[in-house]
Amino acid sequence: MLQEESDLALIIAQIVQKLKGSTLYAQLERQAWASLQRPEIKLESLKEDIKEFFKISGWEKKLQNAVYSELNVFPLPSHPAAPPEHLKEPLVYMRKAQGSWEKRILKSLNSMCTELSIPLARKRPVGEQKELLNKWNEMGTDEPDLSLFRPVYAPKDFLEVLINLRNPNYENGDSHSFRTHLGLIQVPLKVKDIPELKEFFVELGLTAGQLGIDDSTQVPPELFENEHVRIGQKVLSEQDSAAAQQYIRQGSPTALRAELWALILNTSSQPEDILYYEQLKTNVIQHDLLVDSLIYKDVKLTASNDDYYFVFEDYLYQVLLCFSRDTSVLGHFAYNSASPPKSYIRGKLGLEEYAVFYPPNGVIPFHGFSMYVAPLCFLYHEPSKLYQIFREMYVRFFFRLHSISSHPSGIVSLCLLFETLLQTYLPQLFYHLREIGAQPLRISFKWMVRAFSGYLATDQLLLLWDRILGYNSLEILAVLAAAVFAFRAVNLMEVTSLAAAEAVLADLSTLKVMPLLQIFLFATVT
Amino acid sequence: MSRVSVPCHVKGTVALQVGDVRTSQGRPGVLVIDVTFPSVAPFELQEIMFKNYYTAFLTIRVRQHTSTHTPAKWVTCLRDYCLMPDPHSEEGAQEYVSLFKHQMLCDMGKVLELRLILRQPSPLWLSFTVEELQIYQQGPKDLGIWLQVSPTLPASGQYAFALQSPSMTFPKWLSHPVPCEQPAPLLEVSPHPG
Repeated sequence: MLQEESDLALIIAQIVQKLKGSTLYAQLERQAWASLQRPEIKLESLKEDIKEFFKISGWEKKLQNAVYSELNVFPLPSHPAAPPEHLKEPLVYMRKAQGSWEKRILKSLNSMCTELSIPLARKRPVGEQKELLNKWNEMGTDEPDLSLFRPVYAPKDFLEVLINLRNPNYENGDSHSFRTHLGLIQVPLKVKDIPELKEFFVELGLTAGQLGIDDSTQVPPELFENEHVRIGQKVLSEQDSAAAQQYIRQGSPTALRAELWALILNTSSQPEDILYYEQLKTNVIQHDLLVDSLIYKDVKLTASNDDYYFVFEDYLYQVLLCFSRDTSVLGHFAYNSASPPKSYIRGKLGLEEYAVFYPPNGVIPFHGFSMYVAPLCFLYHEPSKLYQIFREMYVRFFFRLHSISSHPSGIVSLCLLFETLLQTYLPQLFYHLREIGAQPLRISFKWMVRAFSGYLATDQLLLLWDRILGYNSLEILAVLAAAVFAFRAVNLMEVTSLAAAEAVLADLSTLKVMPLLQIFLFATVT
Repeated sequence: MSRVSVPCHVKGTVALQVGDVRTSQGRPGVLVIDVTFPSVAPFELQEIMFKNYYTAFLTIRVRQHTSTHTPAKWVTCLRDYCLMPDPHSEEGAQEYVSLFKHQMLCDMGKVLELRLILRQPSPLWLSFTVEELQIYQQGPKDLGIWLQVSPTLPASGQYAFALQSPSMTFPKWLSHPVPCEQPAPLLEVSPHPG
């Protein structure tokens, strides 16, 4: 049909436009030129021969991986009349809510700035630069006075904003009617129900093998594990992103996980990438940002106190400080409902030519932000690789967990999905918790915002994040949250207060993620 | 296809309700919008574009110019086109939509008037309508097609491009890819004028 062809043409044009600016394009050009010297390239069939050469040498695979990555990350081109804000977030009232939330955060940051009389950014004196360079690998030993700093916001503040989110065109009567939702979220977004989730997560079904279930000691490895590892090695040798994404839906063997994730996220280890990281490091050494102190404070409060992650404290500083200065992250604001905060050079308020984004990457860290990086430290030991993986994970997934949007993987949809699942399949539990004033979302929100990092045992967390990568969606977080409630339902039915409910669900470190998900999705009698 | 906007006059929406009294309890689920073209001769309709605002289904009726002396009749050219797959949820509620000639049930050769019938069966929404309505007719033919792509897909890795002739319908976003700006040096450095 005419319409589909022109849609396809638009998508292809957009991808080509994006890839033209990348290093891959330059590399392909170089390779094509170099290949002219090969004997099998003939002038009369130049195009076909070069294409054949690309296929054999593996460059076509790299191009396919790059295209697949673009399709996964960037939304499809929308209607030509739609303004760029529409691509960020189609619903007007959500855009407004995100805008006012951002204003609040900035106000809080600015007031902290003026209270403590610390500039947002300053150039470090040479002596301090030398000192920092020497201490780069052990920044954790530094004990700056951070008592006056406080995190800009915590997940529970964000939850209050989401609870108050209202659609002005929606019937929000004061009296309870069929229109008001029983949970905390009151916006009518479309969420999947269990039959749709079963179809979406079909590879997690009872008839398919899973790492996390079928690799336990009681199960002989010949049944599933050996074959799965063999397939994983084959996928890695073929270097195919799409195949890796499909493979990882059933879990990734520990030995192959680091490479598989790098393949799916399409990161490369070229010298340019290491150089880029070194440049960011230089930026950190030369300039000091207020945001750095917030990062220090956050790491000290969260990751350093965690039994699993305190050993990686130094890595966290090395990654997060560089992350704040990485302007390539600004690209993701095209499809993120949030916008980077702008500040003006001193004395030039309001003039667009003197506007800069603060922090340079546009992301203001909140309480618990460093927990996004901590689990990755188990997989990657080289700072530049660790940095790249974290950055890719952030611009693909994690940004959705702290911005207001109607996207199916956005935090609002995840909260609504969790509440809907709980109401539909555990109505007695939901009613009981609501009656005692313990709305379930108040307990599970912090799990979802952090993608369960810091709440689950690390091996279980990595199995969960395997599935996030495999399905390119965060909905599994909401399903797991509901599954945890289902698992502890008997205990929860006996509690009589919010504090007691929180106590029942305080410790998730003994939970096994995959059996919970399988039982909730596929084995619960409805 | 290049296209030219046709100036139109959009009359106010009329709600279809049973009975005369407007009760606060019930809300009309059907609205009618008449679109006339006062200063334009009967034209061939190419595209209808609008921004949806919580309308679930759209029906369009058209009245065309006939050469004989019979009075022009209303004909349905689009029946129950679904804009929101689930009328109770937000999906598709504020999307931009384009409807083309080839999607219509009848020939749109000599359009005199259009009538848009909007339906929203869900009682959850306070109001619904369509906004930014624009009608397009065929533009002058000699501008040609701006983009032609070979239909084979990534399987063979072919991205053959032939930019034939420049045209005014070049999409804006192709010239303005996502900006990836370098920030100016922070605070202390004095910027160069101009």
